[in-house]
Amino acid sequence: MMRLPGYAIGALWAMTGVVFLLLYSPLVIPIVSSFFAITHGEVQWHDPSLASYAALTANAGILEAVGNTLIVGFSASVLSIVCGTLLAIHYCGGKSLGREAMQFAIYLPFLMPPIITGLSLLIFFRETGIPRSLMTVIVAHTVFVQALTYRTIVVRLQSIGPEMIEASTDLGASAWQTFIHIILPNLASTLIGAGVLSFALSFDETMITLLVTGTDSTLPIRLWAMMRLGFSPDINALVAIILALTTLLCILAVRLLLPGEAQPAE
Amino acid sequence: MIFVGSAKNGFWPRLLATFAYGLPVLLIVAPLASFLAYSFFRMEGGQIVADLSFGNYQRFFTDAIFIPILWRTCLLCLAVAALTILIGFPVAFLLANLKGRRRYLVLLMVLVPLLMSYIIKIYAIRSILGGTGFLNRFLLWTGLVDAPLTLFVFNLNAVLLTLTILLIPFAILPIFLSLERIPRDLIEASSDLGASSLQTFARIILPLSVPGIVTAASFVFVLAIGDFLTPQMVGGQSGFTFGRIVYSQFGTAFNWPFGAALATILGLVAIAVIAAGSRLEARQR
Amino acid sequence: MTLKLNRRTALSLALAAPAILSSSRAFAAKELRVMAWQGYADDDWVKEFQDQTGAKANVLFIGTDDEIWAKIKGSEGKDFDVFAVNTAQLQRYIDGGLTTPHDLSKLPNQKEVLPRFQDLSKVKGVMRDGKVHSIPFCFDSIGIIYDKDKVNPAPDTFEIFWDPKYKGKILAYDNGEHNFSFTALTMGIEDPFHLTEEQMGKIKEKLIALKSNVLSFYTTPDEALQLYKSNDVALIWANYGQQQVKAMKDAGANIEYVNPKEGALAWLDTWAMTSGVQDVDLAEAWVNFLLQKKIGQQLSERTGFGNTVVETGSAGASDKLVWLDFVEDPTKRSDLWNEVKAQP
Repeated sequence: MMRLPGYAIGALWAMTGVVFLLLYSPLVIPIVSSFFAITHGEVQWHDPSLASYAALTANAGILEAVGNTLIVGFSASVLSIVCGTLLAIHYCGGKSLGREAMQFAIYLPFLMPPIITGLSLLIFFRETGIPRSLMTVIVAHTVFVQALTYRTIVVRLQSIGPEMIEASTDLGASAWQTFIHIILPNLASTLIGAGVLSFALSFDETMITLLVTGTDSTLPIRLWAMMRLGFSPDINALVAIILALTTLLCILAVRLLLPGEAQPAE
Repeated sequence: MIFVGSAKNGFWPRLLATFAYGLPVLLIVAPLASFLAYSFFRMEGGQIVADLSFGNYQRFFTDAIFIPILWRTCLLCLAVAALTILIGFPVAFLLANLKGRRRYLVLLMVLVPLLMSYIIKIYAIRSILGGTGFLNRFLLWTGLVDAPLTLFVFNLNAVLLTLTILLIPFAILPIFLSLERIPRDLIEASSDLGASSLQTFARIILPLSVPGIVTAASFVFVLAIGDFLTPQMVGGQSGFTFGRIVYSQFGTAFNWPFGAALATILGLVAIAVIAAGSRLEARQR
Repeated sequence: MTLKLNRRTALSLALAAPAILSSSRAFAAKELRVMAWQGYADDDWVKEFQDQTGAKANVLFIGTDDEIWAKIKGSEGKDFDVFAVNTAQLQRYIDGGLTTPHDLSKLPNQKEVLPRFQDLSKVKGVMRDGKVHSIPFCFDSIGIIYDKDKVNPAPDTFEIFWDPKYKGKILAYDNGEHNFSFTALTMGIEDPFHLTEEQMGKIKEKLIALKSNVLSFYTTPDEALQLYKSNDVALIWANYGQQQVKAMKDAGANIEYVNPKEGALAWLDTWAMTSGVQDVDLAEAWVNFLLQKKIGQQLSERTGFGNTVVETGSAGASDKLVWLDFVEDPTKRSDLWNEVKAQP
């Protein structure tokens, strides 16, 4: 974005390195241990083994939970992006009635402790006779991550500024054309960023999920319940696989949706 | 914003408006408001009695334990927000200065840790920080210390550090997005006028990244203040935060009305923080 | 292709949504919804039960007593058919009308359980007004785990937790109810579950003293194990009893377990049916299935808990056990415990 002197770039890289050391230290331990035999809860460093991975394939319950987590995470982030964009377009459009109040409402589920959001949604679903299932989990997660996607999109929309949109309308473009040709391209990177963040939030949500689910478990719920008896070694393997897969998924998403060269980064 | 003139009263804008009011009211306001109404009820003999009163709020303000804990928790979360921004800013700035593939690689590396289960991460951090954990063993091995450090063993420092590590990505992303939005011509104009990079940074980039910093701070603060797991798992007997008091009202204490009141107060604090943030942001504009 | 969404499709979508939401239930075969602790519904048991009954058993595993309550109370019992709950907690579910009494004629295996669990009227807490609200399944005592290298001779009283010699080397459990009860036992109070105002005040003082002597308050056995591994820990108040002992010994710890002379609290987990139970016969079949000797044996082998069917090493007959009871005022105890923890 600006021409930086070499030493500044070097310093930035060094600081980033330290941050990555912090970020990655908690990930390295389970991943590295997943490649060694574990007896009596102690990692046998002299005995490399893929036993954890073999054990994982037999653990149907956990794999099903992972599947559920992915379904919920994906649906909730897509839904929240769609809703977030619509909401942002509405509330950015000049003065609308009770805008401030509605914005606070959108933020609320995120601001409240999860047990409150979870319990109130559970009671709501009970009162309206909607059976608890993965569907209700998806709805709850969408409501929960909505604050984040909405906020991110609004900030971006405001920075696009009215001039471009006015220009577009003056040239006779319809609202739909303006949206497709002006707003969406400008939002792309924001939408993907918001999507990944909301996926991550949804991926880890425990308390709300627990309260609004039926008998379907997601991964965090299974892990949470496992804390009573301790994690089995195959969890290390699972963590390693999930991390590899999601990383791959992210790379693909970035490559397909944001080709490095076409992006107006500079 | 995209509907102008007569189009404002067409079918689509109306549908959009219906949606924009309907969705939050149906799925957020109605459930939460009806639940928070519990905060005006009270408990009697293990049952919830629907007598309207401010008793629960009165208790919050008169009982000696709640306000100090809330204050302590807020300070902790502010510290977490400040730390994550301090640590996250250089990374966001580097990201904004990178191009193409490299940029996405670094961005990905920021996001990947978020995809690892929270519980697993806390477990791992705890095995690093413990009295005979990795960190202390490493320090002893290098000879930097003679006895295990107790600085990060089951106290508020440990909570601070753990929350910071867990929440850094939530700070980096908004800051990066705001840096990315700074118009190139502004920066170019600044250097054309002979400003040094440091001056450009201090006069243009830093002020213009304030909205991102504020967003980052409010995300991190809110995520930290609602967390009841981290303080419990790494805080030892001093890691007692407001989030944990709220949580306990719904379980062992079985006092939903008081829990609802405490949650309302926590929500108000969060809203106040965000409102303060928007103000700050508006002043910068 | 352009997306053509006219009013009619939009409307029909909106109308269809609730139908789609509920259809999954309508066409499902017989289904049992179980809420259990980890270790109470292992995959192989669930599979065998499904094969026997032809029904689908869906299990949701839960992490704390608090969540069980929030989930069952929040859904007014409608989300599950059968759930695991301890006898002390059970009382508030009965009070709230959230349980359906068992029909013993549908539980033939209950006649074969250990003598002390056969006559349910003698098991504290499971019956009310002549009705059986839950069936005992699994139990343990809450004693002391001590590191044999660091504590010598073996402790025989809870008083050791206040011994300054072990300052910062003690793990206690994070639960106000239990902590008030066991401290009451330590102080020689006869009925630790029904304390007077004055007794509570004294116990609170003693708990504040305990707080400054402990390293941390844990909540799960594995957490305690991890804490033990990465810190210098000598004594643990073992809320999960034999299970913790087993896990720690498996991890190579040189530890032993005692039930102290003033009496150890003991918990008893049971199976209760919710008020919203959909298929009573199927729920009873589940409970009866779990009361088999084979299952009891496996439960104890896998978790270390005592089961109610086969005699195991847990809590020998000579140990003094004080079965947990519903306490006089859980809210009050929780508040006082919060105050203890809030002490700087």
